[in-house]
Amino acid sequence: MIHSIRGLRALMWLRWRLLKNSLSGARKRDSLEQISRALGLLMPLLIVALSLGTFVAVSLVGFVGGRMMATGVLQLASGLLVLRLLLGLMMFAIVALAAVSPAQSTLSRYTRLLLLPIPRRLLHLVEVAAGLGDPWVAVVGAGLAAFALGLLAGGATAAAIAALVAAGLTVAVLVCAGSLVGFLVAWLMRDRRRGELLTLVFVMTFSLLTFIPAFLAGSANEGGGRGTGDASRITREIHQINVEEFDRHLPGWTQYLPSEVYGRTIAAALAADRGNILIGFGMLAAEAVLLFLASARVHRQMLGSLEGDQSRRRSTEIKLGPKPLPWFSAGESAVARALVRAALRTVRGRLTILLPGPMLALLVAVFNRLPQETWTVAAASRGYLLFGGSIVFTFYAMHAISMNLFGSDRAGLTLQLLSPITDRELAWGKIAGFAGIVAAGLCVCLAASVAVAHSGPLPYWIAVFLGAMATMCLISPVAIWFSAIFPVASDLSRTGSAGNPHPFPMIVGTLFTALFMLPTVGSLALAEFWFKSAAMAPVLAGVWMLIAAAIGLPMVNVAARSITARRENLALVAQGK
Amino acid sequence: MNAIETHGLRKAFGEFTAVDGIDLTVPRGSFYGFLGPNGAGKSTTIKCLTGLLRPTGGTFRLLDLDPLIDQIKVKRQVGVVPEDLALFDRLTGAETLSFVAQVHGVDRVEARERSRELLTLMDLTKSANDLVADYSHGMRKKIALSAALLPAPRLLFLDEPFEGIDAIASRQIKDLLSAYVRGGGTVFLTTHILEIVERLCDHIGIIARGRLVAQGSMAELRAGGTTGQSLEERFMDIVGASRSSPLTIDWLGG
Repeated sequence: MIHSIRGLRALMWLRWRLLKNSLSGARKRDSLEQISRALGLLMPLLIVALSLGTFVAVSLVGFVGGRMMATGVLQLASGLLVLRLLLGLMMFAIVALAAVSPAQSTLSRYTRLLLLPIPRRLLHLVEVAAGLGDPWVAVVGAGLAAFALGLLAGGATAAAIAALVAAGLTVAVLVCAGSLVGFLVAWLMRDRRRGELLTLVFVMTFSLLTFIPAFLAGSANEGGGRGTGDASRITREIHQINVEEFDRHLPGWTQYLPSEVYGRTIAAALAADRGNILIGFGMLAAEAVLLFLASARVHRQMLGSLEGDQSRRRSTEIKLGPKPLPWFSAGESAVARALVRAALRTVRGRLTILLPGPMLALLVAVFNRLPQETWTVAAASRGYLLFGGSIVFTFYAMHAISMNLFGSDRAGLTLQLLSPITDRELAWGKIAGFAGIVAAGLCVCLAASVAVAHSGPLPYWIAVFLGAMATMCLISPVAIWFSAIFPVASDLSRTGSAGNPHPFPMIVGTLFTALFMLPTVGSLALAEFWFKSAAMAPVLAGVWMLIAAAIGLPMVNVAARSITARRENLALVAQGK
Repeated sequence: MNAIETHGLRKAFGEFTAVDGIDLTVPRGSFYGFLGPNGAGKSTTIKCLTGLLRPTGGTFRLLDLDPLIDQIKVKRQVGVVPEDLALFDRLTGAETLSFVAQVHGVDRVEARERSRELLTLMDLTKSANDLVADYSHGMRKKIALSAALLPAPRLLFLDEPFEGIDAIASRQIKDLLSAYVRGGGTVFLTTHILEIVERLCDHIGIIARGRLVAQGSMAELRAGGTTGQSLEERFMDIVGASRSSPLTIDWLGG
């Protein structure tokens, strides 16, 4: 027992130190690097501030809601429905986040921990207990506790006690469920290829599934026809569905969801129905125990799979090296090809190409099914606008690569710095590679846009394409500058923050991308409303592209000097220092 | 004629001086072992010489060229296996060699032949088209060494090249490097394995706390010590480890 407590204390201390040390950074370097680190802390601080705000807001809502329900100001069924839905959403968020974040970061340290004289059961217990530190769990816990306090303040003492017990059990269920999903994904991720495929499929599916409710709503409205008075009648009918009807429509399995069990327990507590209160407690406790045992099983499986990875054997043929790209030197071509290969073989790199176009296309498909004639429906009918929007989002998604062209290579950057290529060649190689990735992204955007809305005059489509080229020309020197000044040893095989560039270039790069696309929007507007001739759009966009090329491309040479100035810092970042 | 010559080479990080004014002389065609305890400044010295770090003071020349002026010329003649191995995780072994061949301007057909030979020597042919991310530590070392050797450099910097490599490959690499030196190449090697230094190196430099405390041929180094003294004992003498009291820990027993 004493050993277990000591082990628990040691592991808690380890977690705290790892968090603290990650904020303090390594040995002091030059002042620009210090500024870069300071700016890098802005994002976590922002997240903490937002989390605290959510924490306070949810607690307040919980307290007020509990008090209103206890005093009868808020109708019991309606209040409980809101509570169940909110809790259900939170539960979904906790489980989804558990699937994405810890699985990718915790595996390597297990190897070290397994060597220590700590029982595996204790390791599992600590991992599960650490889930209490998850901000979402903390928010749920605070909200439910505040709800119980609200009931107490409203005079429903017995219900408040029952609510508090139910809250504790619900949090336990959530923590165990999050752990189970986290361990399961970590186990699946043990194999690099399997893990990356899983992540890619998960993120793509998760992103695209979010549109299903909108599609279903659209289908429901189809019977009423578009733009008629029937639409508003249907909407009114939907609003008038009452809680009983809502409950009747829920599938049978949902009654076992912790949010539903919690809701029924609170209802029983307010009705002083002791039997159902105990049943609720029992169900929540049983769910927590079952999930804990299941997570222990998966945890054991995960630890057992830490060794013994097998790599796939491919062909052993050594192919002839590629010829240099047209207009580029052998060194530039090698750097460009390395960037394209390295980026497109990662989850993040593939997502930047595969996700933005199809997501926006789905959004437009949803707009197209809306019953009302709104500006969104009008915009959705113009495919070139969708194409332009997809391009902007593709550029945004690609910030993980473009705003960290050097840092994302990690040790590969050292190889480039040791190679006999000039900084200018390195810069142009990176830009050529990035252009290749953008080109692939544009193809996906074009295909998705044509598939969903192949309408609008062809000259407008050409104008949008020219606008994308202009943006590429102008973003190129910006990308080199930011990548050289704010490098981060990011890992593009991760979808979480470990794959992100420095937050400052990411934010400023977003603004620049929007700014550089504005003249193209202006070209389309001028052609449509001023010249009243679609043919003028590509002419204007073409002029803009030439101006952008005349400004942006020579600036790449200027930006390359920043690599010279920041070479040592880049080398240290490449080594993870 | 010297392959490496440094005068007062210094590198400081803030108030910490990692390399404190060292004067290295590495003759061409020599196998130079650069020894020192952990944190003595070996890797920092290599990083300064290969252009990854900018020295805070002093001057140096590689192959009679000033690397700060003739950076590209120097890099064309130098191969490096650095501490972090400098590999793209998401390139295959064959692609890594192809990348190096391209940036060094090696003819495509010649590059393929060299790659085949190196991969065979390193026993990496079967894994040539696997991603480096899937390689073991030893395989990474081997591919990094292959990448350094592929352009046939005149000077090789090797930072702990034998660590994590199996005995068979280690033997083959030692033979290869010995042949390379006999052919006129120069190797600048850092390692903690004194047996390797004893067997391969003809010149030695010892660094401790950022300062070069001994330098010369193996014979000169041995001559400074007592008769019959092993390289390990001599090394301990030079870095001052043998003068410290023998380490005993009461609670450890034994």
